[in-house]
Amino acid sequence: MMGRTFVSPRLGVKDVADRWARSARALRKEDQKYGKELADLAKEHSSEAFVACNDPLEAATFSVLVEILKRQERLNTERNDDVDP
Amino acid sequence: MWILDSAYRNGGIDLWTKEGGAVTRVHHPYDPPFLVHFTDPHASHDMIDALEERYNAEECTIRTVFGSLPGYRVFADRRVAEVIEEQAQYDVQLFNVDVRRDQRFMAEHGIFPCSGNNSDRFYPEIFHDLDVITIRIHGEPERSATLPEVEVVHERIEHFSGPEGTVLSALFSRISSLDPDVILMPDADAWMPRLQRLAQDRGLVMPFSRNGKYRSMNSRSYWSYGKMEHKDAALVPDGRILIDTERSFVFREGGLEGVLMSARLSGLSPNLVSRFTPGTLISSYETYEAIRWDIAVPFRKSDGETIRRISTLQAADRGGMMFQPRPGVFWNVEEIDFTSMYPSIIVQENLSPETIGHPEQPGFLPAVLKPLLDLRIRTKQLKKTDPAFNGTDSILKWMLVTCFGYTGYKNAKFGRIEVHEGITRQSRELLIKTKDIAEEMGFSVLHGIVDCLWVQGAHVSLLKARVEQETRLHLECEHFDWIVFLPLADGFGAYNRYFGRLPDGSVKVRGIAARRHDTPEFIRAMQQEMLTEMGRAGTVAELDAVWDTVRGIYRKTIARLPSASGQEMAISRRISRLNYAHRCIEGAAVRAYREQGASVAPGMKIHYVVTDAKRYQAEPVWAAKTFDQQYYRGLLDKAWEEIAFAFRKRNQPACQPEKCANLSAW
Repeated sequence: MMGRTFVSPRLGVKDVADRWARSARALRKEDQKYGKELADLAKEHSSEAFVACNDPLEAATFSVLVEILKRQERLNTERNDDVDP
Repeated sequence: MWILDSAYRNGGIDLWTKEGGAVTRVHHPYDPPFLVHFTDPHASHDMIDALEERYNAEECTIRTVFGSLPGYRVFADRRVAEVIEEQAQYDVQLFNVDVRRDQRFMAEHGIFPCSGNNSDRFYPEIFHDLDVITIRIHGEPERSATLPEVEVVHERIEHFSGPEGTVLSALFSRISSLDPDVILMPDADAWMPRLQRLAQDRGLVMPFSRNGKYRSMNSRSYWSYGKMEHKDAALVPDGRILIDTERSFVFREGGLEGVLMSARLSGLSPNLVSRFTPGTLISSYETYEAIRWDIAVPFRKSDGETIRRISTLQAADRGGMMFQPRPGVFWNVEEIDFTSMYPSIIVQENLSPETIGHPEQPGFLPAVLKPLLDLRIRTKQLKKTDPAFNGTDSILKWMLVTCFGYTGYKNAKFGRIEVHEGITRQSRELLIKTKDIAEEMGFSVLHGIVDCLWVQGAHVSLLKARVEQETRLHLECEHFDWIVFLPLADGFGAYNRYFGRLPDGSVKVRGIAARRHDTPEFIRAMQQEMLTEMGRAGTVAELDAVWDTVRGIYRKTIARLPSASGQEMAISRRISRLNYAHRCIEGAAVRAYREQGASVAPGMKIHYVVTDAKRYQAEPVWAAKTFDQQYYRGLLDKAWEEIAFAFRKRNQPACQPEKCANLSAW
């Protein structure tokens, strides 16, 4: 064998995201879309997260939080833009 | 003295050289010793006495990459070495046991094949006056019952057909009269044993060898880079180069120039290297270098990995860096990639088994890779203006690519997993650093894999200069007028599936049907035709304008599907096994091959046509009379969707994953 390989970053996070998507189905109807979206956000930065994260769950969480922070900043900007000077 | 072949014969080395148009064989008596180091010489004194008495063993100092060891020279062969190992209960270190004698002879004498007098081994060009002919035997070597038509190509093309005996003697006498130095022959390794049998039956002498002698290489199946490969047994003639053009990886990738360059670098006969994988080539090269530097080549690896915690392993074993691309079409994109990144890191960071923990010590691996790397940088430059260098460049590229993987191979003579990990760690840092520089200079980074980054922005030459200055590595840039990054099934960007237009109008493709080895010709041709049309479009408006033509090709292909031939539907795959646990088409194809009386082995390539996908039925290509239209329509649509994606969300920097998720829904 050449070298040695642990589960690839993308596959590791994909498994987490798949579990989250399946769990989303158990949520109340109005909450399901958030569960599914979370599963998507987990994959958004999975490759980059694996530079230093050892655990797929850690990488998924990192990815989701980055996207949430981005949204929060966007929201804040929009809110500030709405305010008349 | 231009060496074209070498072999160990009768206690010495036969060197076949060509000078002034004539080929001669010179025999050099040579029976080199192997080396042994006893961990506890006192405990082994009986054995040492016996070795001194029977095999003239003499005390010596053994130079290894890790330092010097006291030991003995033993004038005997591998069998004796293995007995010593066993009797000493493996408490010995053996060296130079399995080095090929002809290679060792050349390395010790500072000579090498495929080169004139006093020439530089690392010179990018190969000068030769070899007489080359091609022999083609029409028919399938696995199943042809008789010897069908034979074609010999030299200054003209000659055909031989008729009764088997007539064909055979005509072919043999032609080879004898032409007396070529090189025979290029598709499926040579499959035909040779048959020719030999036929010759014996008819009392004829095979003329392939120049002295009637042949070396035989055994057939084997093995794993390489996650793929099962198969190597046929081979009958290798003395004094003449016989290349199986169909099965030789080195010839396929590098042509005759590639074979000759591999021989020159590894100090082995072109006959052998043409049958090697790039991994064997690089390890042979390292062995030649070690002998040349008077460093002993270990028989068994003894520098095992240290025990580490699983978390440490997980942290170290990460592979190359990837940035996730957004699927979509992007305009004016620059691809920047590091030339031979991994070997460059080995050289620059002085990574070698013996420098782990001792970075100040000059490393063996960096020292031997440096000239190879410098040569590659030259051939990569030269091939831009002279395509004659393509073959050599390709072989060097493969050798350098493999040298990295080889550092992680458990049996590598000069490998160690920590080196492997060190290289990828460094490569990740380099790619991140390059991304940082690009972003700092106002570029937007679209995608990145291991040693390659795709960016959008102005003045890429400035970016190149700055990255080269900061990393001290070579970069290559390629401009794309447009590039398409395709999505995976879940809508996220695929790392390795893209295609884009280069300034000369050609389209570079990766990971799509046109590039995959198992795509049927019918589908490959459709996608290629579409890509050629798209290659004419250098602007947004021009790409819009080819849409109708491209869709026309799709419709035309659908209409032609029912009347297509089985040949065009052949799927070629390398099989990894003979028994399949689950029902699958590949398994059905293997079964069909056997039912037709064709021999199959893991690693062999089979060519089959799917006749009924739902019932898992397939036929070997020569036997297929029909094909499953629905199945092939599915493959065709998939190939079409890859192309159609380019027309889908253009003029937008990216499209949302969920909208890209289902290509066919569009």
